[in-house]
Amino acid sequence: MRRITFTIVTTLAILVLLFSYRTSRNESIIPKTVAVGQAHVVLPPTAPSAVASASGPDPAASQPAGRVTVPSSAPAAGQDPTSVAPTTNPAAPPTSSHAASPTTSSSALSVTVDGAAVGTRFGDVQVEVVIDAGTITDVRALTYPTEQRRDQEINQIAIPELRSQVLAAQSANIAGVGGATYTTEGYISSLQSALDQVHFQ
Amino acid sequence: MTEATGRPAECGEPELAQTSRTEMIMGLPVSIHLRESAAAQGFGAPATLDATVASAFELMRRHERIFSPYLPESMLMALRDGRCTAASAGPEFAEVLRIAGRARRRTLGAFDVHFDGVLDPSGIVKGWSAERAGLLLATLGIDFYLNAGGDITCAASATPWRLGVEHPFHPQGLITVVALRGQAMATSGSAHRGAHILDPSSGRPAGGIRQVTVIGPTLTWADIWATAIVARGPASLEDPRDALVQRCRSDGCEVLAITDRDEVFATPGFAAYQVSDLPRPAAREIAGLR
Repeated sequence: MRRITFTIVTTLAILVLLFSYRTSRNESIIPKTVAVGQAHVVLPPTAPSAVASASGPDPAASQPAGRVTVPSSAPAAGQDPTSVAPTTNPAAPPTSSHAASPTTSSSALSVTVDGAAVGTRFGDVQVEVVIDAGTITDVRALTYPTEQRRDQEINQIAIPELRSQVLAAQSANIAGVGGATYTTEGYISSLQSALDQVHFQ
Repeated sequence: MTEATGRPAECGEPELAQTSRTEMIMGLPVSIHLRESAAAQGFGAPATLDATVASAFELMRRHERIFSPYLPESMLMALRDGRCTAASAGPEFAEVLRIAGRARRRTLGAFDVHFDGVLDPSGIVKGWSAERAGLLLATLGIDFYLNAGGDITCAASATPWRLGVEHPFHPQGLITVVALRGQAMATSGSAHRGAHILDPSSGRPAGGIRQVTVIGPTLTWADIWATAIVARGPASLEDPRDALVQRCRSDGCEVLAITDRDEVFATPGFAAYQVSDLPRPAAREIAGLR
């Protein structure tokens, strides 16, 4: 039986993202390696919307090149609906689909879910997660501290990096990330709450 | 050593569903991740599992109340104010002070919990507390991985835990991915906080090493060694007369270090933890290892 689960935790520089996101068998995204200076960096695939095809019993094996972009608003042919989270966990449907998103939660293929607004010392943080066919394709910061000029400067860097790290962590099929300590507690907590809504009992 | 060396994870290993919980403790996000097997192996009802995870968090919160330099009522503040003595501060305090003394000797002074005569054991407490919480979960046979602000400890389970190490110069990417079975992994550095490690010999921010990741048998010591190597600076990597990394290895630890110039150094044994299905950074050997 197919199941989807994931877990997320973050820490970053304002960011270090610890993260785990598992789909049962449909992850065939291969992390791209980019040489930067002398060091290798494992980065997410160029197109953040690329998702693994879930058709067939084992797409990772049968479709090594089976990376397709699923239109977020329409079910894709060949998608196995049982591999999609909301149908495997009907007890915990997304409780808040973002109105501006082109997605519909009823399609069960693309889900946009908002995390809780989490208060931090510097202001509220709220994120929204887009999940396509069991793969996180985007994380957007809906609310973050902007009152101080310093906040704006930091968050202009931090928010895109947090987003990238979510996607990078996922593409490397890992359970989490270790790193130097600094916390984006609001981002983490809001992200966690968004994922809890979709997938956690 | 809790378990044999971490073998690289193979592709196509069975997927195990995971759940996690995150709480803010000691100013850090602390997350405990459980795999499906934790419940499947007859550990008990989900409620029992939840209660065990809650008790692990509670243990760390208890340590926070004892050692916090921010809470006026903490034992640490009472000790600093002379309202109590080390002898009467309780067994946890005694243990941390004992570790602190040993850390200073083992690292030849590179790790010191005193600065300007003020006791600040925070550099030990985070790793030590996370290790204790992990031990609580491990003794109950739970297949867990615990992440305390980027420092990690995990169960010695059949399926390794795949964990990324953040790239210090490219926070959107990973420097490498490792597979751990029962080991701990600590990372210290200046990537995000600016220089927050002081060189005890000069009292100034340590420079030259951007990030050090240590994998070893215990999180307490992985963390101590990672911090000590950053504090000592590039001499610990490049000077064959510097014995710090050699001492670290004799504790069963392996090291991956990135300098401010983006040079990567590693002990020979570190590669055994790196997964085989992802590229690894080219690493120079650390000087003076026997």
